[in-house]
Amino acid sequence: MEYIIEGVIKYNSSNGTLYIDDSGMDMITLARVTNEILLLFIQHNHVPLKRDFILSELWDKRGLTSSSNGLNNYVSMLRKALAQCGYPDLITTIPKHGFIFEAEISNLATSDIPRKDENLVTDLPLQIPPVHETKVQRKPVRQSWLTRKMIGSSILAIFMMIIFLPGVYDAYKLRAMKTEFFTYKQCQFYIADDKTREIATSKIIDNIKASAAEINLNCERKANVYYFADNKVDSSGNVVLKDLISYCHYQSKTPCDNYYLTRHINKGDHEK
Amino acid sequence: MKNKMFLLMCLAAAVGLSVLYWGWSSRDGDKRFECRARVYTKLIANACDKTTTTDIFLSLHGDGKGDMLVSGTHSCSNTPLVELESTVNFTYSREGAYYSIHFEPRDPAVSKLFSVLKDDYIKIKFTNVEDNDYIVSSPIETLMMCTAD
Repeated sequence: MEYIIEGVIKYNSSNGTLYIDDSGMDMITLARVTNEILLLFIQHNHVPLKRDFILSELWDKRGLTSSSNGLNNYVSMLRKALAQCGYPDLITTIPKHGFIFEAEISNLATSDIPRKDENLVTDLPLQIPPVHETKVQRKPVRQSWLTRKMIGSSILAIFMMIIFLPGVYDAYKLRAMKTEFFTYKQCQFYIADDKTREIATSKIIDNIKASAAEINLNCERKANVYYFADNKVDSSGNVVLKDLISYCHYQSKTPCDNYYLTRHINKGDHEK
Repeated sequence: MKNKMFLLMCLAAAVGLSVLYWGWSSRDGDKRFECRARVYTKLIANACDKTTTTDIFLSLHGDGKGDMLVSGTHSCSNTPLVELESTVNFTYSREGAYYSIHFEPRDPAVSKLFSVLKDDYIKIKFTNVEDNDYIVSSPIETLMMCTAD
């Protein structure tokens, strides 16, 4: 039986030859198995074929031992043969499924019987029935649409991830920058520098609460309060205790209020 | 194969666009930055138990020039209240995480309101800790927290 693939390649399934008229190319003779695979593909044009189905049709049903790697090799050889004819993309591998052959096929002879699926009536006319064509043409369109949708979704997801990743990182950095110290009414107290973290103890909480009362911090409304402490000892042994309490209104553009409390303690007082 | 190429090209385009976007969004060297703060100080057990209340508006114009508007009062327990308002112009440049700020000639009295202004040259850093709130610190100490406009 002879087929015309893509309108130009003459394929004779009985002797496994591929030829293009007036092209100057030599006739290609396919190996037996390769020829059978091509015939199977043509008979199931536009239909995704499961790897198991092909193995079963070409090997298992004949009592031969099938091999997935062997199938890959034969498909690869067929691809090369079709590429020599100028059509390298007629066979597409469907990952974790099998293959799909997509080409325009017409028959030169009408007497042979195409080997359709085992369940199909065997004496169907050689031309692929329109009903079958309609049925099989929808699948690749759907598959192609799904693939494109998946590719589009992946690209969008990656694009969004790349764009929003710095924001997520910044948010993480902001959280890491400050340490929640304690909560007093609606004021959330934070420590945001390492110097203060070193001296921050539970005793300091009492001091901060006392200072908060002294400077009349309004903790009846939500606010973030940052505490910075710095203890300096000069060369003569006098101590300068510098506390900075910054009261920032929660999610507001009202400027932060900064309260500096500086205490000078002389060496003698300190020793007491 | 075509799908793979298409996917790769789209990925390359996405990465390229993202890099451009990051580059564009991170060029803060020429960004205008303005923030406001109120500073209260209370010195206990020094010569006069001095207290000050100061409103500060700090503006970096984005072109290497900026100004600081300082307005407030200061007093000791035994002296009358002194009210001051002054605008201090400065030039600045970015050096790593810090801004090097060089103050132009100014009223010396203004440093009594905000001690940072007693030096002609300072280095400060802005650290964002909340949506609009920044810690303003020198390499040695925290100066204040301000809220960006």
